[in-house]
Amino acid sequence: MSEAEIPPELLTRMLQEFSDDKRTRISSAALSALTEYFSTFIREAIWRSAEMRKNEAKKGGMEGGTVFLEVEDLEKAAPQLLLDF
Amino acid sequence: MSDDESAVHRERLKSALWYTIGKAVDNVGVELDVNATPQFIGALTEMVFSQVELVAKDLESFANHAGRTTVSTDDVLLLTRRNQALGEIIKEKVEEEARKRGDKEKPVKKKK
Repeated sequence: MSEAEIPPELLTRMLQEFSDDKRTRISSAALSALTEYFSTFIREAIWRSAEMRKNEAKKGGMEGGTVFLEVEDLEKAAPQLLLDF
Repeated sequence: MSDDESAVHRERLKSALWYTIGKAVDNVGVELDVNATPQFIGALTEMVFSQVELVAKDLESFANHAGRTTVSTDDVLLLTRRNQALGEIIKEKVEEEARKRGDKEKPVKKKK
Protein backbone atom coordinates (compact mmCIF):
# COMPACT_ATOMS: atom_id res chain seq x y z
CA MET A 1 0.00 0.00 0.00
CA SER A 2 2.67 2.45 -0.98
CA GLU A 3 0.13 4.92 -2.37
CA ALA A 4 -0.79 6.18 1.09
CA GLU A 5 2.45 5.51 2.94
CA ILE A 6 3.88 7.83 5.57
CA PRO A 7 7.69 7.98 5.10
CA PRO A 8 9.37 6.00 7.93
CA GLU A 9 11.55 8.91 9.06
CA LEU A 10 8.51 11.17 9.40
CA LEU A 11 6.55 8.56 11.31
CA THR A 12 9.52 7.98 13.63
CA ARG A 13 9.89 11.70 14.29
CA MET A 14 6.20 12.05 15.07
CA LEU A 15 6.30 9.08 17.44
CA GLN A 16 9.28 10.61 19.23
CA GLU A 17 7.46 13.93 19.50
CA PHE A 18 4.58 12.26 21.32
CA SER A 19 6.58 9.86 23.46
CA ASP A 20 6.68 10.72 27.14
CA ASP A 21 9.87 8.72 27.70
CA LYS A 22 12.90 9.78 25.68
CA ARG A 23 14.36 6.29 25.95
CA THR A 24 11.50 4.77 23.93
CA ARG A 25 12.56 3.30 20.58
CA ILE A 26 10.78 1.28 17.92
CA SER A 27 12.05 -1.80 16.10
CA SER A 28 12.19 -1.56 12.31
CA ALA A 29 9.72 -4.45 12.05
CA ALA A 30 7.30 -2.58 14.32
CA LEU A 31 7.78 0.63 12.31
CA SER A 32 6.95 -1.27 9.16
CA ALA A 33 3.82 -2.73 10.75
CA LEU A 34 2.81 0.70 12.01
CA THR A 35 3.28 2.21 8.56
CA GLU A 36 0.82 -0.38 7.27
CA TYR A 37 -1.57 0.54 10.10
CA PHE A 38 -1.55 4.19 9.03
CA SER A 39 -1.71 3.43 5.30
CA THR A 40 -4.86 1.48 6.07
CA PHE A 41 -6.19 4.31 8.26
CA ILE A 42 -5.64 6.91 5.54
CA ARG A 43 -7.05 4.73 2.80
CA GLU A 44 -10.15 3.88 4.87
CA ALA A 45 -10.76 7.54 5.67
CA ILE A 46 -10.77 8.47 1.98
CA TRP A 47 -12.77 5.41 0.89
CA ARG A 48 -15.45 5.88 3.53
CA SER A 49 -15.80 9.59 2.84
CA ALA A 50 -16.12 8.91 -0.89
CA GLU A 51 -18.58 6.07 -0.32
CA MET A 52 -20.84 8.20 1.83
CA ARG A 53 -20.72 11.04 -0.62
CA LYS A 54 -21.55 8.81 -3.58
CA ASN A 55 -24.47 7.23 -1.73
CA GLU A 56 -25.86 10.65 -0.97
CA ALA A 57 -25.49 11.72 -4.57
CA LYS A 58 -27.48 8.69 -5.68
CA LYS A 59 -30.28 9.41 -3.21
CA GLY A 60 -30.53 13.02 -4.27
CA GLY A 61 -30.57 11.93 -7.90
CA MET A 62 -27.51 14.08 -8.59
CA GLU A 63 -25.07 11.63 -10.10
CA GLY A 64 -22.35 12.62 -12.50
CA GLY A 65 -20.12 15.64 -12.34
CA THR A 66 -16.90 15.87 -10.42
CA VAL A 67 -17.11 14.86 -6.79
CA PHE A 68 -15.05 17.01 -4.43
CA LEU A 69 -14.70 15.52 -0.99
CA GLU A 70 -15.17 18.13 1.70
CA VAL A 71 -14.62 18.41 5.42
CA GLU A 72 -18.23 17.45 6.09
CA ASP A 73 -17.70 14.13 4.30
CA LEU A 74 -14.77 13.32 6.55
CA GLU A 75 -16.71 14.44 9.61
CA LYS A 76 -19.44 11.96 8.80
CA ALA A 77 -16.99 9.08 8.33
CA ALA A 78 -14.87 10.03 11.36
CA PRO A 79 -16.85 8.54 14.28
CA GLN A 80 -16.99 4.99 12.90
CA LEU A 81 -13.46 5.23 11.56
CA LEU A 82 -12.05 6.17 14.95
CA LEU A 83 -13.99 3.37 16.61
CA ASP A 84 -12.57 0.89 14.13
CA PHE A 85 -8.95 1.87 14.73
CA MET B 1 12.11 22.74 24.43
CA SER B 2 9.97 25.67 25.39
CA ASP B 3 6.26 25.53 24.63
CA ASP B 4 6.69 27.83 21.63
CA GLU B 5 9.51 25.76 20.16
CA SER B 6 7.54 22.60 20.71
CA ALA B 7 4.50 24.08 18.98
CA VAL B 8 6.63 25.19 16.00
CA HIS B 9 8.19 21.75 15.78
CA ARG B 10 4.75 20.13 15.75
CA GLU B 11 3.58 22.47 13.02
CA ARG B 12 6.58 21.47 10.95
CA LEU B 13 5.77 17.80 11.41
CA LYS B 14 2.17 18.48 10.50
CA SER B 15 3.25 20.28 7.31
CA ALA B 16 5.38 17.33 6.31
CA LEU B 17 2.42 15.05 7.01
CA TRP B 18 0.15 17.30 4.94
CA TYR B 19 2.34 16.66 1.92
CA THR B 20 2.04 12.89 2.39
CA ILE B 21 -1.73 13.02 2.92
CA GLY B 22 -2.12 15.23 -0.16
CA LYS B 23 -0.35 12.63 -2.27
CA ALA B 24 -2.38 9.82 -0.73
CA VAL B 25 -5.63 11.62 -1.52
CA ASP B 26 -4.45 12.13 -5.12
CA ASN B 27 -3.53 8.47 -5.51
CA VAL B 28 -6.62 7.01 -3.92
CA GLY B 29 -8.79 9.68 -5.51
CA VAL B 30 -7.73 8.54 -8.98
CA GLU B 31 -8.89 5.00 -8.14
CA LEU B 32 -12.24 6.21 -6.82
CA ASP B 33 -12.69 9.00 -9.33
CA VAL B 34 -13.02 11.66 -6.66
CA ASN B 35 -11.22 14.88 -5.84
CA ALA B 36 -10.83 16.59 -2.50
CA THR B 37 -10.76 20.17 -1.31
CA PRO B 38 -7.65 21.44 0.48
CA GLN B 39 -9.85 21.68 3.57
CA PHE B 40 -10.52 17.95 3.38
CA ILE B 41 -6.79 17.27 3.18
CA GLY B 42 -6.18 19.60 6.11
CA ALA B 43 -8.85 17.91 8.19
CA LEU B 44 -7.51 14.45 7.36
CA THR B 45 -3.99 15.59 8.24
CA GLU B 46 -5.22 16.77 11.65
CA MET B 47 -7.01 13.49 12.16
CA VAL B 48 -3.98 11.38 11.28
CA PHE B 49 -1.74 13.58 13.46
CA SER B 50 -4.06 13.04 16.42
CA GLN B 51 -4.14 9.32 15.75
CA VAL B 52 -0.33 9.22 15.73
CA GLU B 53 -0.34 10.87 19.14
CA LEU B 54 -2.83 8.37 20.52
CA VAL B 55 -0.96 5.43 19.03
CA ALA B 56 2.45 6.69 20.22
CA LYS B 57 1.27 6.86 23.79
CA ASP B 58 -0.45 3.47 23.64
CA LEU B 59 2.63 1.80 22.11
CA GLU B 60 4.85 3.28 24.77
CA SER B 61 2.49 1.99 27.49
CA PHE B 62 2.39 -1.49 25.98
CA ALA B 63 6.17 -1.73 25.69
CA ASN B 64 6.57 -0.36 29.19
CA HIS B 65 4.07 -2.89 30.51
CA ALA B 66 6.18 -5.68 29.01
CA GLY B 67 9.32 -4.25 30.61
CA ARG B 68 10.81 -2.93 27.37
CA THR B 69 11.83 0.49 26.07
CA THR B 70 11.68 -0.65 22.44
CA VAL B 71 8.28 -0.96 20.79
CA SER B 72 7.88 -4.36 19.09
CA THR B 73 5.49 -5.82 16.52
CA ASP B 74 3.53 -7.38 19.38
CA ASP B 75 2.79 -3.90 20.66
CA VAL B 76 1.59 -2.78 17.23
CA LEU B 77 -0.62 -5.87 16.94
CA LEU B 78 -2.10 -5.06 20.34
CA LEU B 79 -3.30 -1.75 18.87
CA THR B 80 -5.59 -3.71 16.56
CA ARG B 81 -7.20 -5.82 19.29
CA ARG B 82 -10.63 -4.26 18.79
CA ASN B 83 -10.76 -4.93 15.07
CA GLN B 84 -10.05 -8.44 13.84
CA ALA B 85 -9.92 -7.51 10.16
CA LEU B 86 -7.36 -4.81 10.85
CA GLY B 87 -5.42 -7.24 13.03
CA GLU B 88 -5.20 -9.68 10.15
CA ILE B 89 -3.93 -7.01 7.75
CA ILE B 90 -1.16 -6.02 10.15
CA LYS B 91 -0.32 -9.61 11.06
CA GLU B 92 0.09 -10.44 7.38
CA LYS B 93 2.40 -7.47 6.92
CA VAL B 94 4.51 -8.56 9.91
CA GLU B 95 4.80 -12.09 8.51
CA GLU B 96 5.65 -10.81 5.03
CA GLU B 97 8.43 -8.61 6.38
CA ALA B 98 9.75 -11.49 8.50
CA ARG B 99 9.91 -13.68 5.39
CA LYS B 100 11.82 -10.98 3.50
CA ARG B 101 14.27 -10.60 6.32
CA GLY B 102 14.61 -14.38 6.57
CA ASP B 103 15.53 -14.57 2.89
CA LYS B 104 18.22 -11.92 3.28
CA GLU B 105 19.88 -13.80 6.12
CA LYS B 106 20.19 -17.08 4.23
CA PRO B 107 23.81 -17.77 3.23
CA VAL B 108 24.49 -17.42 -0.49
CA LYS B 109 24.97 -20.88 -2.01
CA LYS B 110 27.98 -21.38 -4.21
CA LYS B 111 27.05 -22.00 -7.81
CA LYS B 112 28.75 -24.93 -9.48
